[in-house]
Amino acid sequence: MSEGHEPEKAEAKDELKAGPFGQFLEEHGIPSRRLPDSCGVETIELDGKHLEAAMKRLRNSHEIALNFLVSVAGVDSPETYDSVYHLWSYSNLNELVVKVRVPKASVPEDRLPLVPSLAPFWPAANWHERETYDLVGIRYVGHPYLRRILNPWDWEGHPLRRDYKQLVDALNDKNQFSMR
Amino acid sequence: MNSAVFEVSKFARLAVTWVCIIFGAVWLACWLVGVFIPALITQAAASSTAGQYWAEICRALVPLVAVAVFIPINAMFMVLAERRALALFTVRKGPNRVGPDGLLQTAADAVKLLFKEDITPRGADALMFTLAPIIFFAPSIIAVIPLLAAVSGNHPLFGIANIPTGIFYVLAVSSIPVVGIVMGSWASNNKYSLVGGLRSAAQAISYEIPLVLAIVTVCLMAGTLDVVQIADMQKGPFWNWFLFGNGALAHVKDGPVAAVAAILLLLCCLLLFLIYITGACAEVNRIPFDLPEAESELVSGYNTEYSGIKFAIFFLAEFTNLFVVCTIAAVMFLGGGHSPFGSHVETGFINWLGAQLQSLPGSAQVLSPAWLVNSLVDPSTLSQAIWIILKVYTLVVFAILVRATLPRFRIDQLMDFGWKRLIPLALILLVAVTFLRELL
Amino acid sequence: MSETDAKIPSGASESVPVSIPEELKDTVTLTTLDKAIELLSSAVDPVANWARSNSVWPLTFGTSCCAIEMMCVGMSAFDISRFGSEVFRATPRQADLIITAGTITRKMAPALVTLYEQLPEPKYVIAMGACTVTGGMFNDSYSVVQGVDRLIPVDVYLPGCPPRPEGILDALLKLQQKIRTESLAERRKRAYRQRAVRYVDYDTGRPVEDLVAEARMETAEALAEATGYALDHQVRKV
Repeated sequence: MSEGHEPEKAEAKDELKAGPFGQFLEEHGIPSRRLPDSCGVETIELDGKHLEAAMKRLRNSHEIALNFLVSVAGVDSPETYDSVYHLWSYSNLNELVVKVRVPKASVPEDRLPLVPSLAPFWPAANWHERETYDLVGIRYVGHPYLRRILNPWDWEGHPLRRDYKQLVDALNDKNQFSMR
Repeated sequence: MNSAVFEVSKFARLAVTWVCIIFGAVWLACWLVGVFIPALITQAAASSTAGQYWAEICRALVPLVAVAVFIPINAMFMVLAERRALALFTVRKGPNRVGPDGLLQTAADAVKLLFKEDITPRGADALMFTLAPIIFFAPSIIAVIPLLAAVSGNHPLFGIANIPTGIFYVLAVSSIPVVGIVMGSWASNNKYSLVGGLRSAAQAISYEIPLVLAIVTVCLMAGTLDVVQIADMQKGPFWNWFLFGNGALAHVKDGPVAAVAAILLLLCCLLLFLIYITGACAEVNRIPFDLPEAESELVSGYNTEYSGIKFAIFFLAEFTNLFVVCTIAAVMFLGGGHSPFGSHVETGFINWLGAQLQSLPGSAQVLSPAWLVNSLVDPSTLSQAIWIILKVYTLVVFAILVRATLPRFRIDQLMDFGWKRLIPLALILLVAVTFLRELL
Repeated sequence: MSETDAKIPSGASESVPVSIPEELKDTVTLTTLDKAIELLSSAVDPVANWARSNSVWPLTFGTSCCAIEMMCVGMSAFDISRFGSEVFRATPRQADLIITAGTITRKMAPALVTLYEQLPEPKYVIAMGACTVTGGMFNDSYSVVQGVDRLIPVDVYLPGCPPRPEGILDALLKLQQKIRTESLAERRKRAYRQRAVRYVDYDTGRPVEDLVAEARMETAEALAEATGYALDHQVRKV
């Protein structure tokens, strides 16, 4: 659950200095934590409860203007479930990666990790969030119509999870042991 | 360049071969039923009234026989010609493997459709589903019968089928197929079919008005509804056709007012012809107007659920309808079976040939070889037939060319074009032609 | 459960000479028409086969990149119309052939089966491209059907990723050869096997037979739990 989780201040030694976007958010009173750059793009980690406010600030402010949501993706990391947002600004031609990480330990058995949805105020996120829900199994709280988009309606499991057991039946039985 | 010429010549060869087959068959069948068998009957039972009676019945059957022989072969030819012509326009070869040079391609298609499983979908109204193709097909048979008299120069064998209000009858009958489409689409129990059928109904209602207005204007100029008389009014050189104002250009010398009126009348008539062709294309669902079977939107429109022989009938009827509207255009605007040159050389040759045939030894004696040749070869009808074939198939090829060129309309564009452009234009032309005729 | 299972096969198998698959027993009725067709077959076959082989109308069906090659084969350079097959029909009712051009996923599988069933007899299938022959490079994927022959019977396999348009023409010619060797009676007999497709559930993307077996298992378990009897051996095996 993202509710009780704070960015870990304990690793203060490895703490990177906040980049321009991190500073911008800091100015507006939104705490964030910088992660190592991904391919030279500033990457910050946000807490789930700050996500909506931060995204609105980044999108609406005139000087930052990160008003293009490139994608919403999901990653099943060893320790956490990540919901990854790529933002792009056509006026400044720069880029930002935002991650919301939900530790696996905080997710109860038979439940999905919860992340607040962007879809109510950013329609571009609608299908991306559905796809992430479908394949990685992150439940976006507040999404208007969160159902599977690529797989059939009643599909069992989320195929890009580490613990996914591939279905073996008459349609797909050549590889009893998946190569993954 | 050479290969293009080669391909065109191959297409021409195919067309000529098929047209010879079609009209040879029709000619022979008509001669058999209308001349040869009655002659045999009268020969056998010379004096009895029963013999005369049967001979008359035989003669009366000729228009029906002509249509029955003509329609299937002609539709087969037109499908093949369309495929080959489309191939020609898109620099392909076209069907050329079946029979000599692909001549039998459509025969193979027809036989295959005959042997295919015939499906009536679950939930369909079986009776209506079966009746729909028949109702779609039947009008194209009955519509052409009065036209037969016009295209054969009121030949005695076809003259009985002529009626004084011919064109009125033809137009009335040729608007029936829409009923077949709507029936079939409703009976299929399929949403795409239904949408296709309703579109077809809307389209037919919208485009029948400009089409009929164009024809009405021609009738107004001619002063008659009789197709034979209308065709005869256009005798002589091609500027006597209704396409060129029925001899309006002859009045150019009559003074400035008459000259202007004549030229305006000519323009009006050209526009009328274009309106007629547009409306006819929409009426038979040809490609710029083929919304009822728009493949990208509705699966296959009204015939989505039809398979096998029923679909073959739909296919047949579509092409026959195209032929019928082209024939109407040829009779109303292009002078029917009359030669576009109206030259004395041609009529002289026809008369000479007729006289030669008449003077063959023994031609007066019924059933002698000379009589057979004489009755089989009828020079004036032959010339009429050749001209009408040329005119109608030119229009058909034009329709195929339009199909290869234009994309499909959207439904709102179609309605806009019909109601806001064509109908007002047709009405204006009707009034204009009325006044311009007075000024000549 | 096991008793009713045992009853079904013993019912109708004695009276009919043609072997009918289990799942079609209640839908198939054999009539005297079959006898007539068998008698006429030798006379009608040459004509019917000539017509069928020369006008194979494909269905407009393309699910991925192979479809581009399939479109290409209708264009000027390759021109499938020479063999009378350029008439791509949009509705399965008027088509004879499905060229399965592209990957078939579990979600597409029920649609493909429906389309195949909607084709009127005689119907043919060309499995075009590696994906529809074996699953291709998506062989290991969780969502891809490993070859359309797991869903519908296939007449010609055309490997390649994607195959060249010439390959499609070759497959079409092979199919024409195959059609020319058929006989109506044989086709009629084989029709039952031809129709034996594997149904796939729209909602779960799993074969319906598996779902039925599962439901049976659950019912049996619930029954055993409620009545206290042990599970039947046969049912457990399913």
